[in-house]
Amino acid sequence: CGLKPLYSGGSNGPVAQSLQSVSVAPIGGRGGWLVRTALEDRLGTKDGVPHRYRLEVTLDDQIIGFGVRRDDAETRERRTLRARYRLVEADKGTVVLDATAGSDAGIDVVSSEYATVAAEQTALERLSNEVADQIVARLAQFASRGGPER
Amino acid sequence: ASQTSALKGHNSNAPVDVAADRIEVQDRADRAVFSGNVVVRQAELTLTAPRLTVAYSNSGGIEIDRIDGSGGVTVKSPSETASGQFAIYDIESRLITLIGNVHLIRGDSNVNGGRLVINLRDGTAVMDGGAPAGVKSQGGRVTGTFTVPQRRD
Amino acid sequence: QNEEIAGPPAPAALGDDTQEVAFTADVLAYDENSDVVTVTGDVRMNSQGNRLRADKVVWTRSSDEVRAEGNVRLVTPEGDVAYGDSVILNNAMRDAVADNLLVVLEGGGRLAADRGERKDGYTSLYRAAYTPCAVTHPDGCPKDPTWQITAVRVVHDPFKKRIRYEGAGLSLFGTRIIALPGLSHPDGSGGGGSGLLVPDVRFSQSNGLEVSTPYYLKIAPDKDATIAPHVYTDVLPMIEGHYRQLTSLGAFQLGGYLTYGSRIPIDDSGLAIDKDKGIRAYLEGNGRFQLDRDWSVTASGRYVTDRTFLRRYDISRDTRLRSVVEVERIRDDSYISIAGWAFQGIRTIDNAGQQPIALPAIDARFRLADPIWGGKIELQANSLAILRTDGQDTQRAFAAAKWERRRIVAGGQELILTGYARGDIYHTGDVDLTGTALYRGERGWHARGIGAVAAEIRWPLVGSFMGGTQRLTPRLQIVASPPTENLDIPNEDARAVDLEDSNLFALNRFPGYDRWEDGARVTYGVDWGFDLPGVSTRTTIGQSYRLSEMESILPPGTGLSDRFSDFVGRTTVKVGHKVSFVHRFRLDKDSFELRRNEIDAVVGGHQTYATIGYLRLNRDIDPGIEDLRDREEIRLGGRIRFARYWSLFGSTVIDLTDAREDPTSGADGYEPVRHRIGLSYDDDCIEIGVTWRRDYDTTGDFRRGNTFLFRVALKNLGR
Repeated sequence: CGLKPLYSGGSNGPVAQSLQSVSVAPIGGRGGWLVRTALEDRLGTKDGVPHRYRLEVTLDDQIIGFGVRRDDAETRERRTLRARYRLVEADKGTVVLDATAGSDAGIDVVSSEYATVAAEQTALERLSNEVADQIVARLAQFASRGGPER
Repeated sequence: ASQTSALKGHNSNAPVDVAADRIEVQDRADRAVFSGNVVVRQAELTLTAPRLTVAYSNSGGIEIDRIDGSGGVTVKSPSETASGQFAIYDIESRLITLIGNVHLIRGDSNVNGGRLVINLRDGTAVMDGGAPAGVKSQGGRVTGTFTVPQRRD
Repeated sequence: QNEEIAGPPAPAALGDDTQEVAFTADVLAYDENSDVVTVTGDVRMNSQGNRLRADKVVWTRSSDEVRAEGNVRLVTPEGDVAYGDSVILNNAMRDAVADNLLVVLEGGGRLAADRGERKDGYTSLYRAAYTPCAVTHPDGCPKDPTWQITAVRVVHDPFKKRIRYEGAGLSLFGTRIIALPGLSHPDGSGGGGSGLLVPDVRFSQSNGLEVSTPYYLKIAPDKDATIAPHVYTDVLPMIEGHYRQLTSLGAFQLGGYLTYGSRIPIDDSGLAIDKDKGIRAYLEGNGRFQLDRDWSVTASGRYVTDRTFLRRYDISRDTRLRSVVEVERIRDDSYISIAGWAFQGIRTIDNAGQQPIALPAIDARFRLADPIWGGKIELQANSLAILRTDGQDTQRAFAAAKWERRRIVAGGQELILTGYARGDIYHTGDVDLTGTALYRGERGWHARGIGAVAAEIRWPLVGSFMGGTQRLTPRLQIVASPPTENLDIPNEDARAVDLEDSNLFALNRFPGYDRWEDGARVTYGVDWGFDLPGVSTRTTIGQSYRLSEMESILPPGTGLSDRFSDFVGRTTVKVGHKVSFVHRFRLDKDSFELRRNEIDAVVGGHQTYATIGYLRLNRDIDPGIEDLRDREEIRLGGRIRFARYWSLFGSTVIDLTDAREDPTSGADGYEPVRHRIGLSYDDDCIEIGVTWRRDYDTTGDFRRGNTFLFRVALKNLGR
């Protein structure tokens, strides 16, 4: 059914090359730092390579509680990390891609509240990798379809 | 604080003297054409224009019926000054009509518009956009400013 | 001569005592005898920012009175627009008297009156009416405003930006309901001055009838406060206050609730001892300050005097109050956080002495490029000190280095190689004060070394499918880690263990750092995404197999205890903005029983929607562990909008846990926790709502029963 590798041509294939020309704008907070470093690892951004595109990401990070017992105590939490990102041409500033990505992770509320906080922080680290994976996959698909013009 | 206009009591029958660089009398047409710094005086009213045509009737002495100025006419009286492209001073009906880019400066208010008709008999002056009466003026507007005393607050 | 009539030239102010009025019109007539100037024909006049338009203007020079007649429209410098049949102006058009006047305020309200007078900027209207509501239907035909305030005299003071009423009365839907003596409110242009906010009326089983009228105080452009007294029929009144302030570095806010009353406190043993009286208060505050480009301080604190205060006075449903102070330094290649945590648990099971205080919790990460093989190195230094007033204390410090190299190989596969090394030092005491044996560890000092190597390969494939695009990504990961000490290390932050799709491929499937999953394992999974315009689906599933026979420290039921792990995965389906469906699951590897089943679906748009949330945890984890109990719950919610302004909304939470899931809970399988049903009318200028809420549980002095909330909000009443 017509499946072919997304990164055809390996690391010096067209898709991988155009990913390396993307620089990631700073993103605020702990979640922002984690997502930005994950993006830079996956894009393979090197300092030497000229940056033709800039990736601007805004994050929305929320924790909701549910699994409520009779005395209103929550027993489960879910951390949702959503990203809205735009790919902008560095020189002309035109937005060539505007999309969203996001995922969530479940957390058990345990009796020691610090253990719950630690589980929430670990969930954030895993979610930032998952969101970075989704963004880079979408950028690769965009690049593999020829992007705006190469 | 507004002084009444000097035009109100103007006597249109007072003698009119005209001075100009050149004069060309067209006797048969009972008309005289003055040109070059023409100045017409009647009592305290003065009218200046580059070109002036005086139409007169010749029954007995010379009696001026109508003065037509063109090329930028200024009518001055002690209390106001009006200027326009053309001016018609119909002495018989005691009406001064100015047409074309008319400016009326009176005391500290000045008004401009398309046409000004000063009626010396009842002392009224009507300014409008300049289109012939009855036709909705094509945007010929009267604009200007007048000053209103402001209570010191 | 363009058709658009150029406005009159801006008048130059001549002297102090005179003011020029510029005008434009069709005809000007000047009558010498009466010294009256009459200007007719779409007259426009402009003086000191007051712009007037009328069919005819008569200016009597002797009395300096300017009378405008016919479709008069006067626009003030503040932007308010006054319409009238005839208006008499003087003092350079700044003062005016008008009949049959309508003023449209720049802030959005409307003032109409039989007679209006405007003097030195003040507009006062006689036999007037004020309403912010639309006076015409969208299709233009006039309608009676939803509510209006009628008054004998109304004064609009543009300098204080307020509107004052004398002899005022409020009429709603055309009928006059209450008199409002001495009413005054902001006119909406100044960005909301101080003033009364919308009153809140409710009836609850615990406190009887409650009325609260918040007062908003705008202290300064960057400081404001809200004070709200609450008066009840069954209990003493309560005072609520909030203060907010912007500073050059950031912003902070403080809030508090204070009352005196009788309560049935629940002590640590969970039994309700007899009633006692006392001060009951809840304090909260938070703030964030960006010190410079890198450093920032975030702080948030919450404290309540007794466990049932929040629920009884319906202040908040939270049952775990967190207080934290965190200093962060964020740079492109480094992240440092120094935090202090303190908690207050107000659940029946919470024991104050056991509440952990984490002081300090330091986490520092530095990233550098690997010059040798071209990967990335992340160094991490972490330290944590947990102390408890009546429980186990633990101190920990570790340093770790993680090397990772990502390469795309010729066939289009992503190859990720990872190396991880870490050295820990732990110290703990009073271990026997911790209930669950697995968490205790052993007293004294412990050190351990952790190492791991991992290789993962992903092969993203794309193609078209049924007119859309599909993406198939098989994943394979191998992790090897030498045997690691776990059980004699105290477990403070690795207690919430649950295998799911987000942590299946993680190096260490435990949360936190205190437990490390050692041994060698292979993890495999596949991720499939399919996108059509407006429709996007994505599903992922995976499992891991432990190569070494070592006994796992993960208790059975966590899905990781045997060599084959349970299957975990997730399916997401989104159709435009109308339907969103997410299913997360953990499937037992042997019995294919759903160990964890979470379904969340939203159907519908903004105005009319239905939501369903279902959770079933059937993990059967050893009851000796105090956490990770099983539950089943369903959450339903919905809103229906009808007849343009009306909407019906409701939500319910039902606890379906029964003996099968949690033998200790004693629940019978159908225990509604609470439900809420409400009706609201909401148009452009009023919002009326009534909500019935029922709570099904009595905790201390918060009694089971109904709560009715009424809400009447007059919109854009100038605030």
